[in-house]
Amino acid sequence: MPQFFSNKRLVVLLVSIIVLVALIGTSMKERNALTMPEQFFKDSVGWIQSIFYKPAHSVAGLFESIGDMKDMYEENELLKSRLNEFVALSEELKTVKKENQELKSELNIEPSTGLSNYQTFHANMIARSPDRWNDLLTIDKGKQDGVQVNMAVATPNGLIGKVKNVQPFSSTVQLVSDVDRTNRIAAMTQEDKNVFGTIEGYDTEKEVLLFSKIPVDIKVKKGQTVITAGNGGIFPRGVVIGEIVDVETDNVGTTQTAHVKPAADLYDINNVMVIDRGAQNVVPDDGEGEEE
Amino acid sequence: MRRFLLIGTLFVLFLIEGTVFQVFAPEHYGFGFQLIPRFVTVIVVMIGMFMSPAYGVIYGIGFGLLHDLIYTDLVGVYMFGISVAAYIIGYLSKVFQLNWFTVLVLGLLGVSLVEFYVYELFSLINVTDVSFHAFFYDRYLPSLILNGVFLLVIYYPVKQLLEGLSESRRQENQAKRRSFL
Repeated sequence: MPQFFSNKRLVVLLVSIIVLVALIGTSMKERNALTMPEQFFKDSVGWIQSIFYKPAHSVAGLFESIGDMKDMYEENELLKSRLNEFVALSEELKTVKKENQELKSELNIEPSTGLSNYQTFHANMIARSPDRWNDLLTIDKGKQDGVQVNMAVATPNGLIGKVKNVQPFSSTVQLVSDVDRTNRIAAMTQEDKNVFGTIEGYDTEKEVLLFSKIPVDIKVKKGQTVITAGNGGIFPRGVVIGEIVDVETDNVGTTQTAHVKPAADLYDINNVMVIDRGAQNVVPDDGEGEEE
Repeated sequence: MRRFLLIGTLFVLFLIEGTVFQVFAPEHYGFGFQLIPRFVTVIVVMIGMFMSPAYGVIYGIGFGLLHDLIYTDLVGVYMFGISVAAYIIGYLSKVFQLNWFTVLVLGLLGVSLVEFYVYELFSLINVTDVSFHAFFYDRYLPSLILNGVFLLVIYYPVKQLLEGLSESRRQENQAKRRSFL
């Protein structure tokens, strides 16, 4: 066996460790935008990835729909019975909306400045980091389509994350399950009155989000729905995050933390919605996702 | 020609890790464990064994950097990890006679090096907070089995390819290796 570490190799190793530390240090800094070569690589590889991802997903979808067929009859019955409820509800919604508008106009409140005004546009997922340390997705809409950094990203079931980087033709989404100290979302839960808090991280083993900074004298119960609060940054109000499954008091005893089970399945993602709160430059959604 | 075949194969595997494999990942179907594909790492480590450690380092830097750029935000983590693993395993392999079993053991050792290094590094810089126990049982062991099976499947074709490559470039290799390190 040749000598494992000659002096020269040791020097090379040490230098590369220094370079590694420097590279990690620079890329960990908060960056507004990626460098040109990074954007170029991500875009061009993203394009090839979409060629791979789409057929694979449709094959998987075929198997899934065969599996679903068993339950179809029962589900259909259930849905039919729910449909009547829906008609009644939508009538009620109409009247309530109208009443709301009338009341607002009586009080001279300007419409459309609300926190919950937003527009969505659709995108398809094309790749996901294979190592689960970084929970990042790539989607096929980018700066050209109006995606901006920090926009909320959701599936029809609920919030899944936010846009981390944008390239011209694709963008990277950081999932809510990504452990990152900057990955925070202002959240609230509605029962009798609004309770505000922050989603501050993810428990990987229990697979729940940590909804913390809730004052200790406010009671939150299991089963309450948590939604985005929209009072910090670019997220709109009212995107469903998940449901409270457990509440515990913090060590200090002044605040409590609720465990929130995400409403969206973080592993079964295909079509996503990017949510744009500032409605100034929205591209009309073309929604060409291949729906089965 | 053969070299382009090798690079092409590695690139396709690299894409499969993030796309096709993710569609069929076990979490998708409600299993509690994770399967982490390290297909590129397996082949790069085999390059280190069958060609030369220096070649392993070159491919490791190339595909590690690609992995860093596309799938993570931190540049340099996999670039360093995969190339060092390929280098160490490439040297270790000189003491063994290479057959499918030793290549399997050494290949998995290389994958383990990368897994543990990345886990320790990411714990250090707070990218993850997974406990060692969960990492070891839910992630490391299942992934080891996956990558072991993968290695056995591709063992013969890749071995043929790599041996052919290193045969035809032996002279050139010698000169290159001297100048590289």
